[in-house]
Amino acid sequence: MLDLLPRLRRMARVLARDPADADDLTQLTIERALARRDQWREGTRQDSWMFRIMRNAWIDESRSRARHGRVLAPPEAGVHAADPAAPSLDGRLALTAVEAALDALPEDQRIAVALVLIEGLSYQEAADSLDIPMGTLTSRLARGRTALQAALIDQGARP
Amino acid sequence: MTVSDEEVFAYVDGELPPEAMARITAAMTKDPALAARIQAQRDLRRLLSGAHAGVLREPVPPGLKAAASASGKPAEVIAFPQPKPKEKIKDKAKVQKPATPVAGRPAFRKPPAWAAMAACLVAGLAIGRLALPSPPTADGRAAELPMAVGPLARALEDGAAAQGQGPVRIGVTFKSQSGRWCRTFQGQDQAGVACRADGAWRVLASSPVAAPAAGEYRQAGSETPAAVMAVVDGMITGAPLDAAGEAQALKSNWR
Repeated sequence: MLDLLPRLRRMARVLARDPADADDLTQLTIERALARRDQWREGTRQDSWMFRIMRNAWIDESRSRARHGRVLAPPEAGVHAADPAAPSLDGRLALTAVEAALDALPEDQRIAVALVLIEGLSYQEAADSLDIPMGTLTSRLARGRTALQAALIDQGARP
Repeated sequence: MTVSDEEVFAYVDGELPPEAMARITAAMTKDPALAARIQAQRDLRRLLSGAHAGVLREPVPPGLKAAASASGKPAEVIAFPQPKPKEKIKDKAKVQKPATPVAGRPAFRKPPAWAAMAACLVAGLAIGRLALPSPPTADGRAAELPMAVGPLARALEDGAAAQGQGPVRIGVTFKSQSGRWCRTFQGQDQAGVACRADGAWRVLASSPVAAPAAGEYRQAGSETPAAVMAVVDGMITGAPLDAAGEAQALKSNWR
C-alpha cells in the first residue's frame, strides 16, 4: 500500500482539489482499505480497488460536509505548483492550465478522466471501480475530454 | 470513412478491437483531418498524464505513511541524506535464495513488469557506495534537484545495465512523460532514480537500502525500494528500454 501512496495522493488532489482536503481523503481511504483488507481479491488490481474506496469515501465526506453546512475549500490558483520536470516554461504553463481545466469539470467527468487518462485504468476497470456501466463511463469520458479540449483552446494552451 | 469522436477516443486509449484499430491506423494515412483529430487527443492525453505529477515527487506526509504502514510493512522514506564518511567497500558474498512469502497476508500489489526486470538486472551484484550530492530544500521543491556527481554521474551517463564495473549499478532506463531519459540506480546504501536534463543527471528520488548483514539473505528485487518504484511508476511512459535500446541511447549520448 505504501508504494501506492503517491498515486493515491494524486487521485485525491483530482477529487478534493484542495491539497489539505486531499491528504485527509487519502488518510480516510487508507484507514478504510486497511479495515476492509479481507475484501480485496487477490489477482485484481489493488489500485482500482483503492480508487473505488477513495471515491466512496469522497462521496460520504462531501455529504457529511453538506449536512454540517461546511463549505469545501475552493481550488486555489496557488496550489498549482509548476511541475519542475516540465521541459520549458510553456510546458509548465500548459500543465497548470490542464490542472485548472480538470478542476473545472463536473465531478463525474473529472473522476472518469482521472481514472482512465491519468491513472491509466482500462474502460472496464474504471467502470468497475465507479460501479457504472461501460457506456456511462465512456460517455462521461467523452464529455470530459470535449470540455477539457475546449477549455485548453480557450486558454491558448495546447492542444 | 467516417470515424466518430468516440472511436477516436477509444483508438487513442487502445480500447478498440484489433481489427478496428488497424482500420483506423490505415485510414489515418489517407485522411489528414482524421490524423489531426487523433493527434489532438494524443496531445491531451499526454498533458493529462502530467497533471498533478508534482504530488508524485513530493515526500509523502509522515502521517499518511504511518497510516499505510499499519499494514505491518515498514515505512519507506524518499530521502536525500547527507553524504556519509567514506567506508571501505566490503566484498561480501551474497547468497541468493527464493523469497519466502509472509504467511497470512495477501501479496498486495503486484510489482509492474519493469520491476521484475530491474530485479533481474541488479540481483546478486556487489553494491557500491554512492557519493550523494547535497539535499534539496526543505519543502522538497525540485528547483534544485541534486545533481549526480562522481561515480553516480559516470554510471548514469555511460553505464549499461548489468555491467560489472564501478560502485553503482544501473537498473532500468526509460523515457519520462516529460520526454526525459531516466535511469534507476543502485549503490551500496542508496537506490534511486535520476533523469537527464541539460546535460546533467538530476536525482529525483532516492531511498536508503539496507546493506545485508553478514549471513543475511538478500532477496532479488529488494534492491529497488518500493518508494522509488512508485516514483518511476508515476513517471514512466511506455516500456523500459531493452538492451539494444539502451545501447542505442548510450551511443547517441542521450539525444
